[in-house]
Amino acid sequence: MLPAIFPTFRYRMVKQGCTMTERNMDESRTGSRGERPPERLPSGGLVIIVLVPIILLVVGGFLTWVVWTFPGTGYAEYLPWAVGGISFLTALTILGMFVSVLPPYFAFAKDARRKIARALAQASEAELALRGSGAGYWDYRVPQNEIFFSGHLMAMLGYGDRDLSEKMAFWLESIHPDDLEGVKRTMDYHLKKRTPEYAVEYRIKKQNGEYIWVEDRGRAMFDGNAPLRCAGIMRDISNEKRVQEVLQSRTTELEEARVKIEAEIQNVKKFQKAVDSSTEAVAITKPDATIIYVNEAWEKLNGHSADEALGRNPKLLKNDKTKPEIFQEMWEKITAGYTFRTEDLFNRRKDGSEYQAEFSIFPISDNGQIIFYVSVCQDITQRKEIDRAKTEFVSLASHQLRTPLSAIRWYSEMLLSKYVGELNEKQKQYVKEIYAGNLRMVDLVNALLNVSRIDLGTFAIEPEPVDPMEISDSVLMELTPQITEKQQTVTRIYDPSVGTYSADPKLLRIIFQNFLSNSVKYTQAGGHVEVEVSKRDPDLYIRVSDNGYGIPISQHDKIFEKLFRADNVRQKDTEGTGLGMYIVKAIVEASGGRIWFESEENNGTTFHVLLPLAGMPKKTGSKGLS
Amino acid sequence: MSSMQEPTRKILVLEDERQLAKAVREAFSERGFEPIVVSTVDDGIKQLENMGGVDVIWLDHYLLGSGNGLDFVVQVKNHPEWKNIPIFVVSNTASTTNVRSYLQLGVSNYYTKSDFDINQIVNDIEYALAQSAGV
Repeated sequence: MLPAIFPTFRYRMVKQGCTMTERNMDESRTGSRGERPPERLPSGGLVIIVLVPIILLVVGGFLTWVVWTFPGTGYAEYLPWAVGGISFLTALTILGMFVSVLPPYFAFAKDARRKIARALAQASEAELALRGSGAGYWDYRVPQNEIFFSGHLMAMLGYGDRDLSEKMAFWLESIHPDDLEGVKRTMDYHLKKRTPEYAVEYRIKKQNGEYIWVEDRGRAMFDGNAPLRCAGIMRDISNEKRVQEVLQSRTTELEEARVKIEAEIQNVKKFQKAVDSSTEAVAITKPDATIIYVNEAWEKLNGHSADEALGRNPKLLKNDKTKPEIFQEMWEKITAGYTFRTEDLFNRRKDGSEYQAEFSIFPISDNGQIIFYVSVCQDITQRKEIDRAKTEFVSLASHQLRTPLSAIRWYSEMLLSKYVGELNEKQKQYVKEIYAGNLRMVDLVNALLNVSRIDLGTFAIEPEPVDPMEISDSVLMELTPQITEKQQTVTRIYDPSVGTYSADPKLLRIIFQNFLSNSVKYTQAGGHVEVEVSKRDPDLYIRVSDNGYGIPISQHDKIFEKLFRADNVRQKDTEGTGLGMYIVKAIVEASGGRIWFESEENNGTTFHVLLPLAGMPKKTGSKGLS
Repeated sequence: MSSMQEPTRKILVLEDERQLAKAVREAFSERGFEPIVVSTVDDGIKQLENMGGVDVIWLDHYLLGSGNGLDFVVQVKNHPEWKNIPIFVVSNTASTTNVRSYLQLGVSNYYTKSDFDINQIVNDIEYALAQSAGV
């Protein structure tokens, strides 16, 4: 019995002292030989516990028998030897058994102690690592549908630092509703072994209701295909998310900026090209007027090369024909940041020849500071000559038109004045129509002549002391037939302190005539017209208001244009030249005054004029306005 | 009608447009004037010489032949017997400067033809004659 036990014990003792690696190697070796795995408890102890009492019992019996029988035999004097020998043998056997069985137990105990210490150390390391990483541990027991959250995880979610076992509902309810489906699906896929790992990022609600972004990873353990547990760690990645978002938006911004800059560069190239090859002369100067750029057209127009022009002042083109007021006005405007445009600039080329220029200058500002001026210039000498010829032609043609108009006027008038006998009613009516039509033509020709004089700049202003109220009254007198026919009321508001005023009576009359006749013409029957003449220091103020058809707001900006007639009045009244307001504005502006109006369709119109109280300035010219 | 009782008043009309000259002639005849119509400055002077003056002159600025209305006015105003004959300039073409010159030379009035009925001008002339007769 003993020889069978000993080899096994010896073998085990050898294995207990192995290192982990050696043991693993041993395992594979012993495994293939069909040995028991070394982790199992050492055996033999039980045998000793059973065998030793039996042996002692048997030996005890045997000794009793020896002691009993030996004195009666011839071996009586050997009795002490016999008892001593048996006892010695028994003790030897038992000692042998202990010696062969106990060492593996000691080795096992020692190994177990070491393992326990290591496991404890590992557990606390793992826990430290887990805590250090900021991650929390969870364990989902699938069949029970229960989930365990580590204290650290709970703390991460703002609950107390205590482990928690809960039904799955707690977890599911904490997930952000928008992310819930995705999380469930990810878990489901993993539990169905469709994914090797459960890994998902989602938002989860903290105790205070705030959501944080977490990264959640785990793996399941299966029994066959049935998932038993799924455990993993959850990590707060809110900060990473925030950083990621900021980075993402920075990246987007940078990308957008890059695209913009590239587009700008393309634009700048395009504009550079456009300006370089423009047919209009372009120059750029510094705020102190030093030229820093001229294009080809500028060089061609002025005869100076870019090299000659750069660094110089545009005065190199100066021609005394330009009125000094123009430069004064230009500087006033551009230093205030406004665009300035004129057609009255005369320049001198390098070869001494001169040209009239249409000249625009644009101040370019950066942060309210003018950084340079861009000027665009075009030679309009020829255009001006053509304009002049055209205007002169209109003037001449209008004069020529007056002779036949006079003939029609006078003959129809004589027909009506019974020199050649009385006309019947129909004839009289027809001749009256001819007469009236002719009058319209006379008005139109006069207006065209006025416009051509304005455009040519040849109209004169010849001021003399006049009474503006008297002129207003006389115009109203002329309009009496129409006012009476339309049963309109007229209110005159005259400030007697105005007294006499130094003005060209014809021009002042044209102002009143146009305002008042328009008001009467474009106000419905029974309407109201108001005229005011008063002082508004330092100006004479004229106002004509009505409650008539008004001017559509969309056409306000055209009211002072040549040949413009508002749509609504053209439908109501076919007469009218569309030149009156153009003429009035020219007169007011040439007199140093200001004109403006307010109007709304079907709500009447008010025209305002301010003329300097000092009077209209004298202006010599070949023609007056009529 | 005071004009009916007085001897026929003569009016010299310097007007080169046939159509207008005819209308002027008719209008003045109707109102009891004796119109003498010419179309050049020279003819006008000749007529004044032949008739030893007229009561009133109707003058257009642009005329046929050499010389315009201004030349005619200068000659008339420099003539001792004719200088008081009232002159009414009726023209379509005179510039502001010309109008001023006419008025400075002492013409009675200036009219733009197309802006006036012929009767208005005849009335003005009759009124002026009556005024001067009254003085």
